[in-house]
Amino acid sequence: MEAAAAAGSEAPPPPAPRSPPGYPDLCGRHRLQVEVQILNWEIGFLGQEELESLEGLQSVSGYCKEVNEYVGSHADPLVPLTKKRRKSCRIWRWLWAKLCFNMSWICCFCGCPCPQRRPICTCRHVKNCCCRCRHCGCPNKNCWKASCCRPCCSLRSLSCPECSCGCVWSCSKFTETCSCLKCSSTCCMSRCLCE
Amino acid sequence: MYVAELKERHMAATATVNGLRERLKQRRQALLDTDVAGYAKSHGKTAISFGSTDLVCCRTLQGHTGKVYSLDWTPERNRIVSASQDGRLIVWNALTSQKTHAIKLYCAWVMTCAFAPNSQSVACGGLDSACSIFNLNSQVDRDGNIPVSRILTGHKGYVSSCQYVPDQETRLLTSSGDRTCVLWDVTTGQRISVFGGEFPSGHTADVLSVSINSSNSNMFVSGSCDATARLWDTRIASRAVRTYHGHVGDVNAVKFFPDGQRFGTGSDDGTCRLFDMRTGHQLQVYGQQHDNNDNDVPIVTSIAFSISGRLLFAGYSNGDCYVWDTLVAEVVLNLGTLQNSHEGRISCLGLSSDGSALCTGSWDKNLKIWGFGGHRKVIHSLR
Repeated sequence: MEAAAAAGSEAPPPPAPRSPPGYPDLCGRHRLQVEVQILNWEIGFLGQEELESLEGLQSVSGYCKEVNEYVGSHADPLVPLTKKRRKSCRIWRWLWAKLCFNMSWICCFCGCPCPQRRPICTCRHVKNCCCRCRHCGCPNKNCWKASCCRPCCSLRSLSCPECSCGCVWSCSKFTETCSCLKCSSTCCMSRCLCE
Repeated sequence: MYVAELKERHMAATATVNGLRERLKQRRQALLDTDVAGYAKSHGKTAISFGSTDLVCCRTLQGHTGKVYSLDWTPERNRIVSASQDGRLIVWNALTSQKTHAIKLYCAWVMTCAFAPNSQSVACGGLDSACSIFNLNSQVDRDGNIPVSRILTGHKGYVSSCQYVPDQETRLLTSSGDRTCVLWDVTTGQRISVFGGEFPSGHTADVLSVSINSSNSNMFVSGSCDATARLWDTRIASRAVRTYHGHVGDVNAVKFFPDGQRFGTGSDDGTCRLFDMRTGHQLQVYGQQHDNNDNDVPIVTSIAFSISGRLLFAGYSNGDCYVWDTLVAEVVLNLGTLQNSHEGRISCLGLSSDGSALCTGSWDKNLKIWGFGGHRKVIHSLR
């Protein structure tokens, strides 16, 4: 009994909560390993491929020349045409510019002798002739010359919606007509796009 | 391996990478004897001169009730599809301004749209992280809506941009906020290839735009919030072919130059740049000087080249739409100051397939078509 009593006095302590074991920061180490792998890959790529690819490359001017040549050899519907002017016209243009400014009523007809006259059609004026002398700045609403009027909108080369023929659209106010290669008709828009 | 040792290796590898990048930068600098503008001006090129009525707004497409986010032209037949914050796709006839289709989307948060090469289908994607395909010839449902034909799921982030592979109705390329680009088979809805993501050479941030090379449809470029553009070969998804550095902000827009050998980019840093695809050279920067203290530099949202490459159209967050002369790097026109211009941010723009018209989309809810109104030769027929 005494042994039992002695054993009872030496009973193990009651269980108590313990902190969980300290696990290693696997996510952080894994992430670092991945990053190191990526960096090693990039070292190989930069060293072997990128630097080597620069060997033997010509200077940038060679590629700039290619850009210039390509642009110069292709037409562009959105780029304005430029015309070279001869020196001999300059005095004449200057003179007419002075006259037109002071006597604008002379210039404002389609046969305007002003050498700098350039028919400009604006969407606002397409229903009436849009002949306009650039120097006079006065619109003439009674133009009879068809060549004076230009369609103001550039969607001329779009396809006919009916047959996708690539036919050029024409303005009903415009004397030049479109002949569709596929349907042999004036298939394009029957009204001016700018109306 | 202990974490401390790993950290040391990480630091050493980072230093090596930085050193290699610096060497690359110096090697490129040594080859940078001029830029496109320097070369052009030294050969007598001068800036294009636009008259006041040379480029005019021919059409205003009204109908969206929310900001326009994206647009795309058909390869033919001159229609445009646009995507808007109002949760709709609208298909327009560019010549008549009429709406031929209005598609209500399941997810209103659309960010991109594209026309299929055969012009019979449109694709769109956005915050739903999926790409929806609609067949324009489908019968409408009871509510009068065109039903979705296919939903391409798999991205783990928003779909920022989509483009059909030229002449292949069944192949669609998307870019995403999950840092990847994906090439899809539209007929099966399956991913053919994933570009980036787990692979080391992929983008390290959201991908915002893609452009497929029309001269070689196996190649495409992507632009990302990691300030780089990357060139990919669709046959080799495991790694980018080349990475193009230069921008100091998100690359919002990429577009191939018409010759297929170069491409342009537009960025949050307010500049557009022209890169040589094969060599990685930065050929030109298109940007304007701003005060150092100016924190409101307008960002470039969208770009497009004219058909010859002579003009670069760039839309900006402040409503400007600059027309850059690419050869001399000068702004020759600002569509934002013309009559009938947009009243808000230019969010998207695109050129018609024949290069004769530009369409712009804006946060003012409208689209506008711009065309040439000056003196031109009359072409009677096109073959």
